[in-house]
Amino acid sequence: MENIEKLKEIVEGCLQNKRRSQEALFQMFYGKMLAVCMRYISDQDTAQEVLQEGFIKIFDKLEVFDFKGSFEGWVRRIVVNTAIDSIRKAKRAPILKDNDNDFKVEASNEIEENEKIELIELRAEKAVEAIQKLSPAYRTVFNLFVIEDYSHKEIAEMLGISEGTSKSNLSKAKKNLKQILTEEFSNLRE
Amino acid sequence: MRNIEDLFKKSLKDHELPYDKKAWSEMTKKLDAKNPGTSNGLKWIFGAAVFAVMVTTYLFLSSNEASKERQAELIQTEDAPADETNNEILIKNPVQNKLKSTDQEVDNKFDKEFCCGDEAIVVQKPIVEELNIKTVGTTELQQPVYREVAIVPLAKDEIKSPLYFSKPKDRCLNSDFSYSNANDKSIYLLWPSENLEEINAKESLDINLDEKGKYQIGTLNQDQEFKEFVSFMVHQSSVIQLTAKDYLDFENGLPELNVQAFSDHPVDWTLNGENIAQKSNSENFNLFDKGSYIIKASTADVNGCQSEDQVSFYVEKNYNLLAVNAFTPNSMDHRNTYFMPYALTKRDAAFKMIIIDPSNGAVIFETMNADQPWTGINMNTGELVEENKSYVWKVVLQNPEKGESPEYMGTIVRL
Repeated sequence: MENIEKLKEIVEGCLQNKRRSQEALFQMFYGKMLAVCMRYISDQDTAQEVLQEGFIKIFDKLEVFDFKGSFEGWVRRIVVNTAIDSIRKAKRAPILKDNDNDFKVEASNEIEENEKIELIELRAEKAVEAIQKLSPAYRTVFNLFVIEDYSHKEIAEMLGISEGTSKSNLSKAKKNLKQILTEEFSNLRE
Repeated sequence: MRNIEDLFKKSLKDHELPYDKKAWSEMTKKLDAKNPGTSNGLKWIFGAAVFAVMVTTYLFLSSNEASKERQAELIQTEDAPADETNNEILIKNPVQNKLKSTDQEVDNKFDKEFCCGDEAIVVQKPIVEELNIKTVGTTELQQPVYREVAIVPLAKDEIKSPLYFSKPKDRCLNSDFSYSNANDKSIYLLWPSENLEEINAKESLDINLDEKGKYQIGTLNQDQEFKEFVSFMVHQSSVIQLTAKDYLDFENGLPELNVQAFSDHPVDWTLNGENIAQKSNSENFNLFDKGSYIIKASTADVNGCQSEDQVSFYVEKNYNLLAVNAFTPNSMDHRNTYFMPYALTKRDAAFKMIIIDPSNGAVIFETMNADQPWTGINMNTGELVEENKSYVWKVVLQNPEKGESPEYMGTIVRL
């Protein structure tokens, strides 16, 4: 749980541009926010850069935070938006359309292994690894809908795509993830 | 289709990667590039420059003012020693300084000058400043006057404008420090690097103690010289450094990672946030499960200053008693004619192992002794089991290690 008084003190220091306070805030959220970035961007160096950009924005916008909502949630939203911007810039074009060619695993067979997958206890590292194998389009929608709890309507607005595309991308992302997990676990069994 | 969502959501809910100290230095570069004028060094230089100008101005003005007044009053003239001074003015400026603790963190280790009361620090050696002012002619009085100051004891009844100081405890390097000035005039903090920082009347100073050494708190006398009233030390904590091997050592049959701490003081260890009872400088950690581990060590030196370091390690496979998955009872190579998980031959652990035929669920062998491995014989029939068939082995440990699962299982193929 956030220690609100300590947090307020750190934020106060950040507002006065104190390096120590900025470092404390950075250290407080680094691990969680890097994990967020790694779900959107598969290259670790790029993820680190995006995180730094995110923190620059956080320091810039701190004065508008009013401590009415969750601070971590606020930080997270900025980091997620920064990550999406970065994907958009990297492609120099609207990328968030469904594009099967981006996906590395061929979705040849329909997989109906809900029961098997239910039994799996998925480690976070493996989950991130699997998400990173998705195309940016699928990955982004999956992260926003499943992990960040945005609605398809919100995702459509954020990414400049239709709600239908968002739903379709999510469905394909899930299908591809199942295939990745199934292959992964059959490898383990061998 | 909901399952996969829940699966990912659950596994990523509190996912957090370990902190990387290098990341902050990269971040600092970005912040510096954005706000080039806000680095601490520049702030200090700028602050020092402003302060120097203020002090010079104040000295110049106050000296002129004081000289004029003193010329007008000419309080008392004494026989001067044989020097070049025509007139010597002795100004007794009695100041008894009574220091009261306003900080709850009053230390018992007061300087010898101070007497310890419940709440008060009283200066036992008050000061008198004896000023020798050159008054050669009227014109010379317009110039700044340079004076020497002598400190002598003051009589008890000559009390004037007491100042209150609390005595801070000694601190550790890079800790935060706050000091309140309860007086009606400014007091000053002198850093070990001789930087002087003003604490305005009735205000507080909040700083980070990023220099080690003696910090003094006091006032400026009429000559703008710093006079210490209380002081405290800032200690640099002893550095702790961890080194770990980059592989697990299975020499004792356990997945051990040895981590060494270079420190002169007892070490407190944590493994993924959980405290470890041992405190020696070299510890072995059993990492049974696949995944990331963060091992941290911290020490506190004689001054109570803490330092910490950490190593992270990723285990690629779950530990399964180092069992092979095939054996050949009829082989000429005797090393592979029986089955016993390797770890059980190295560990001095009480256990029971059974072999099950998965085709009918029958237990076809059991042992509690690492020297009696399975040779491929079905104890129910007395015959060698079928070739190229998988059998299930299961081991139950009576006294598993801390954090270890008591049960292991796997398959073994008879070739």
